[in-house]
Amino acid sequence: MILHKKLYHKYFLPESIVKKIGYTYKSLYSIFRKRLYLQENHFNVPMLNAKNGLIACNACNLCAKVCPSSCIEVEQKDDSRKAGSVKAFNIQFNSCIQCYKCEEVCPENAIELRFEEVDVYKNKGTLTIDDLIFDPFKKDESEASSKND
Amino acid sequence: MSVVDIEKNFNVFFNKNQTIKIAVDSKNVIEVLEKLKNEYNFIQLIDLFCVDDNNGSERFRVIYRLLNLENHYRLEVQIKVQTDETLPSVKNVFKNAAVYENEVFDLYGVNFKEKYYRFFTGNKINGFPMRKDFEVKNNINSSGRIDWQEPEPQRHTTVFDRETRSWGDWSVQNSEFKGSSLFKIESEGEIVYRLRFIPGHAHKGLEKILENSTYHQSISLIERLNLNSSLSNSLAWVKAVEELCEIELSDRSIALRMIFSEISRIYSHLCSLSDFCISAGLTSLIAPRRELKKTIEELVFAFNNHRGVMSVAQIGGFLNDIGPQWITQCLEVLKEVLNFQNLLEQACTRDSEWMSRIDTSKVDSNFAIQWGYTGAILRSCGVSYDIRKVRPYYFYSDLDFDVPLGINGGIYDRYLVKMEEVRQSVRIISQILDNIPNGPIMNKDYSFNKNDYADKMDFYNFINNGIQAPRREIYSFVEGDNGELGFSIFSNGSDRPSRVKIRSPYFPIVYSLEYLVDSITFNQLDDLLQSFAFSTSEIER
Repeated sequence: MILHKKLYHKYFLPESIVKKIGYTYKSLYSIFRKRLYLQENHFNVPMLNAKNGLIACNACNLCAKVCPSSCIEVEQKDDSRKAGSVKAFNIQFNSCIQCYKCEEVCPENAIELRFEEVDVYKNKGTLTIDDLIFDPFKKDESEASSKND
Repeated sequence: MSVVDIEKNFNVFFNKNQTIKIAVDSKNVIEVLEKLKNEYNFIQLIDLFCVDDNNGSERFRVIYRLLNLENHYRLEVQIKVQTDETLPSVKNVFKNAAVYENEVFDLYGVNFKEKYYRFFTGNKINGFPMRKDFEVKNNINSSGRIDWQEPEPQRHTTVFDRETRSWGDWSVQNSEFKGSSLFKIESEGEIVYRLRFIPGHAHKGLEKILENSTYHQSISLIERLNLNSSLSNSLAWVKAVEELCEIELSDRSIALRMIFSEISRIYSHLCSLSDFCISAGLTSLIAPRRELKKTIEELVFAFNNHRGVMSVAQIGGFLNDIGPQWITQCLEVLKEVLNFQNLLEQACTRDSEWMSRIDTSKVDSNFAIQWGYTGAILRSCGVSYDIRKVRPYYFYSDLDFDVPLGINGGIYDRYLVKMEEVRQSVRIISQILDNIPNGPIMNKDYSFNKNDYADKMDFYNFINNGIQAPRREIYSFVEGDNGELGFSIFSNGSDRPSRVKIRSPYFPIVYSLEYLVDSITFNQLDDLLQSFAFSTSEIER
């Protein structure tokens, strides 16, 4: 970290100027994105965390037990209780009251409520596992693959 | 038990810290209740409800909950009722009994000698939904409607009046009256003569849902009873469950609970007061009100990272521990609260036009007690009854605070009492913040470390099996934001309660409005409703 800071002292070097522009671009872009959020249909949705395509959920069914409006359904592949053993994960989003109980209970920190765009009118409001995966690393790969093509 | 037995055993009733139960035959009800009211000063009927035991011929129990305001005694009168029996109505003894009896008739099908109609369900449901053997299939009409019959004209009116006055709909659409509601009013031009509340538009059947959900699940359902006071609602429910299961709390969690229940009192009082002032024409308060709401929500957000409804309650303790800078943030928020209060005072308290407009429909203290008023609204009529003083729970007995009282029971008194209560709760919070005790937040049996493997298996079992409550019947009550908020829980030894009755403070008050409205203008009617700050989801549950 200290090495990074040394660059700031040399204001007029071309490297530092490029880096500064990069930072400013990032901050401006984030503001632009926030504005977009307000316009589109974004909701607080319980999403499943994943890393490189492997879902952290182990299908222990605690979130479905705790949910007060009983809108979560979980099916498991095996009894192994390891990451990636979830087969199907459905949320009836019309009856979700966004109470954060599933996030509090989850022992693997697999569920988190995120402010994301959702097609509420698809399938009468039932969200399947494909809509709910939150995988930041996988998106980068897909972008990279598209660039290569 | 009959009247003679009560005279013999009356010394048993002199017990301040317990609610005493007596069983009475259904024939003697009116005699016994009149005796208790007139000779032993049990003036107020706090609650009346029914329980379905589902065994044999004597299936239902109707329970009357009485309060002696002078000596703070509480009494529970139980009657066993057969399925085909018709009960005598206690309408003439207690004024608010008719409304409760109507609810019992609607949801359980217990017959009374008075004529009642189905005000929650109407034609929508065949059969009685709160009975244990009710089946949802084939019993619900989606095209059903709620009945309403136009009442007879008043006696003192002339023929000319009867032709010109007409009944019409009037619904309030502002932020304070949450949920859908309908009033029928009799009016002529700009003057309102009579008013009647039509329930059934926000009835969710919450008590039926609570029977089918575990004690953990029901926390976040009860938060949504009244969105302005979600903190104190959930804390009251958690307290009731802890009394049921006899769970001990650590000192630190109790102190934090007191802080948050007072914060919710400040939040709900100030929001309702400022909305009331804005509707009276002071539009300059809109921006500061929005800022105050945001700062208090951020204070809770710094604590639990939840957006939307504020929730902190957990059975056996508290959700999180406070962070290092939370106390300084809290003190800054309290400063802003006092600044906002000064703004309100400068704008309204000495405004003569506003005072003259408000000066209508005063509530008698006798009327208020008869109709089951509680909380700040009862205190504005001059009755000093605060549960925090009278039967102190948690650490309220160690604190210094005053109970403000009104004189006339009008809208202006309600405003002044609420303003003073905000100041008192700021005083309470600052006293607690000075000496918060150290220690754990959760009880040992209910705290789990998720990262530890041995604890993790216990956590799985705990959530899967739920809390196994013992077979008991309790009533726990707190001084909520709007009045006495009570939960009577009947458990049968499993992880779900067999019956829950929510004693919501606003339920009887709405029906008493019929007798308060007498030839006032529409603006004055709006002020009257705003000063009570109802929420329909709490009334109809």
